[in-house]
Amino acid sequence: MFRSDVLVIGSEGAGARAAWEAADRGQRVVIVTKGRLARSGATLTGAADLDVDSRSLRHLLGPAPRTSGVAPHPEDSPEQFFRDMCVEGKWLNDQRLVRAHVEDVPERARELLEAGLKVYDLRQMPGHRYPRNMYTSGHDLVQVLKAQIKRRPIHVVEDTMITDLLTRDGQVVGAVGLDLVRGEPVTFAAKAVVLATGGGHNVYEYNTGPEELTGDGQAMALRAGAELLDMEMTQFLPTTIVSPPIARGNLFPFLLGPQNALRIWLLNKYGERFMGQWDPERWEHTTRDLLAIGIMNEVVEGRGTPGGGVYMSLKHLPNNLIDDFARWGAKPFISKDWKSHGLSFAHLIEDVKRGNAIEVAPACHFFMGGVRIDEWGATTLPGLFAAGEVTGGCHGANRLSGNAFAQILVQGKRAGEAAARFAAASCHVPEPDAWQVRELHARILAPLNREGPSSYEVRAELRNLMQMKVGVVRDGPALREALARIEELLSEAIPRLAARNRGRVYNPEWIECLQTANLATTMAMVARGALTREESRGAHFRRDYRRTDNARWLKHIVQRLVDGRVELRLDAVETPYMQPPQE
Amino acid sequence: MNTVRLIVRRFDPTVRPEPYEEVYELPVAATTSVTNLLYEINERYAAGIAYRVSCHRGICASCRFRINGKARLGCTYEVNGGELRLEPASADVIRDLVVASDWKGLGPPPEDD
Repeated sequence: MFRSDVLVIGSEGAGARAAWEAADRGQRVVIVTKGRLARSGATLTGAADLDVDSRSLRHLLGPAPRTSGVAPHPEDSPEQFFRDMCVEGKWLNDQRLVRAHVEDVPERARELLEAGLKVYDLRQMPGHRYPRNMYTSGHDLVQVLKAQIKRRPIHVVEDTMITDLLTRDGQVVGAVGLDLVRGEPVTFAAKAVVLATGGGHNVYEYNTGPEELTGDGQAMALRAGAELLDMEMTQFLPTTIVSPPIARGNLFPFLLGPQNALRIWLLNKYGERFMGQWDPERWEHTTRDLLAIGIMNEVVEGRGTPGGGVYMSLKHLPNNLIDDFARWGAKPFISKDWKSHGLSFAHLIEDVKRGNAIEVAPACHFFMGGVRIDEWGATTLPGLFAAGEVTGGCHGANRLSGNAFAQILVQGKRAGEAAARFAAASCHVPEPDAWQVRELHARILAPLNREGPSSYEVRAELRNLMQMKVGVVRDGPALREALARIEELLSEAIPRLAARNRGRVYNPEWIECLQTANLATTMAMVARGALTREESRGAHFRRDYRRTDNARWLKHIVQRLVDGRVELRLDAVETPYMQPPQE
Repeated sequence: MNTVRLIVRRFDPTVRPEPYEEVYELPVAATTSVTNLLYEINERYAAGIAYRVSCHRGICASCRFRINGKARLGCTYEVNGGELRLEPASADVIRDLVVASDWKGLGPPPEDD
C-alpha cells in the first residue's frame, strides 16, 4: 500500500498545480497517473490561450501592443470578465466558481510567468469583450509545471490507472487501481484525495482529446457517491477531420475556415449550402455552436457524408489564394508548409486544390459538466477534492476560448490548498476497509478471468451511438433510445467484458475493458442529463425544445448514485453576484 | 484498396524470455497512422500488442517507435500501404513497443504491507 497525506489523481494541468500547492504546505504528496508525466493529458494538446482580464494583463505584460498589434485594455476588470463568463455560459455557471476564477487567475498567471512560461501574443477571442487571451502553448505549460513538480518532494507513480475511490463511513480515504507495468492491483491510502483526471472526450467517436480521457474520474466519483452536475453540457468544435484517418478529429479545417478568414462553403450530400438557414447573414462564419448544430442537423437528417459529416469546399477559391493563406492566415497554428503540430496537411491541401472537399464533422472538445465542487474544490464527499475539467459548473453551458488553462490553474491551486488543510486537520483517518479493497481488486482482475464480449466491439457501438444520438443535435426519442441501449449494455455486457489476451504486463485489452466501463458510465450521465433538460442552452441543443427557458430551466441537473441507482435532482442556479437579464 | 504488412517485434517477459516477430496484414483505404493500425490489429485480430499513445498529433511523443529502423512517432507516420517494421524505441522494453518511462524525478514512495 502506498501512503500519503494528499493523493492527486492525474498528473497534468490541474493535478500538477494541486500537487505543487499541497507540497508547499508541508504535506506528503503522491501523484498517480495512467500515462506518463508531461507526456499525457489534455493540457499538453492545448494550442492555447490563457485568459486574464485585460486590466490585470497591463500589470503583468505592460501596456504595449503584442505581436498581432493587440494591447491590454484598461477598461476591462475581473468584474467584466465575470460578466462575459456568465453571459456566454448562459447563466448556468456556479457564480462562486466564476468569482474565484476571475479573481485568482492574474496571480496564477504571474506565478507561471515567473516560472518561465513564454507568452507568444495577445488576442481577443469571440465572447470576450476585451483582449484577454494570452497565447502560450500546452507543451510549454506542461514543461513549466513538470519543473515545479521536480523541485518538490513529490512522488510520481506513472503507468497506473486508478479505477475506484476508497470510502469509509462516507469519507474518501484513498483509491485503488491497476499498475499497468506489473499487472497488479495497487492500493493508495491518503488523508485527502484530489481528482484531476480531465474530461471524458472519448465518449464520442469524434473528439479532440488525447487517448486516455475515458471518463475515469467522472465514473469513479459517481460510484463513490459524489454529486455530478450538468453532464449534458459537452462542447464541440464544429469542423474537424473525418478522413483521412491519420488526422481524424484534428481541428485543422477549423483553423483553415470558420476560425480564421477563408470563406469556405459547407455542403450537404446534395451539394446544398445549408448554413444560411441557421445564420442568414454570416453563413459559415457564424459562432461555433451554430456551426456544429447546422452540420449535425444535416447528418442526423440523412444529408451528410458517408463518414457522418459534411463537405467543406474551397473549390470557389483560386489555388494561389489558398497558397497565400498559409503565409498569413493561421500563425502560429499552421506553418507555411501546412504543418499543424506534428501532422502535415500538405497532401490534404493538394487534394483541395484538385477540387475535392474536406470531409468534416463536429468533435467533442470540452466537458463543461462534471463533479460538483465548491470554490475550494471540495466535492460533496468529505476527503475528496476535484479540479479542472473533471469538475462542473465553472463554465455553465459554454466555455470561452482560453478559459480551460485559466480553470486548471485556479482550481488546481485551490484544491491543493484545501486538500492540504483537510489532511493537516485530520488526526485520525480510518484505514481503507480491507473488504472493500479486496472486492475492488477482484473487480480489476475480473476481465482476465472470465469469458465475455470484447471491449472493442462494445466501445465502437457506444461511441457511434453517442456521436449520432447524444451529440450536437438532440431530441427526446433519440436520447431515450440511446440511454436505454447504454443502460442495457451497462447492466449486461459491461460487467462481463473480457480480455481475449490474458497477459498481465501492460495488456492493452485489459486496460480497454476497464476504460470501456468508465466510458459507458459517463455516457449514461451525459445522455440522462440531455434527456432531462427539455430546453436548449449553450452547447445543449434540443431540436424538440429550441428555446432557452429561464423560467423553468435555470437549474443544475444533479446526478448521484443512491442504493445502486442514479438519482436525478434539479437544483436552482444560485446567482449571488449577478442576476440574469429578465425576459 | 492497398494492403499494409506490419512486422511487429513482440516481447512479453512473462510468456517467453526472447523477443519474437509477428506479421499482420491490413487493408488501408486512406492515409492512416501507425498507431491507428495498431489499434485496428488489436481490435480485429485480438493481437494484444502493447504500445503507448496519447495526443495523436505529434506533441507528446508517447508513441515513439523504431519504424523501418528509424525512431519516429507512430501517430504522425503516414501509411498508405507497403511494408513496415515496428520495434521498440529503446532497449528498456516493458512489453512489445512499450519502453520504460524517462521521468527523472521522485518515483513511487516506499510501499508497506
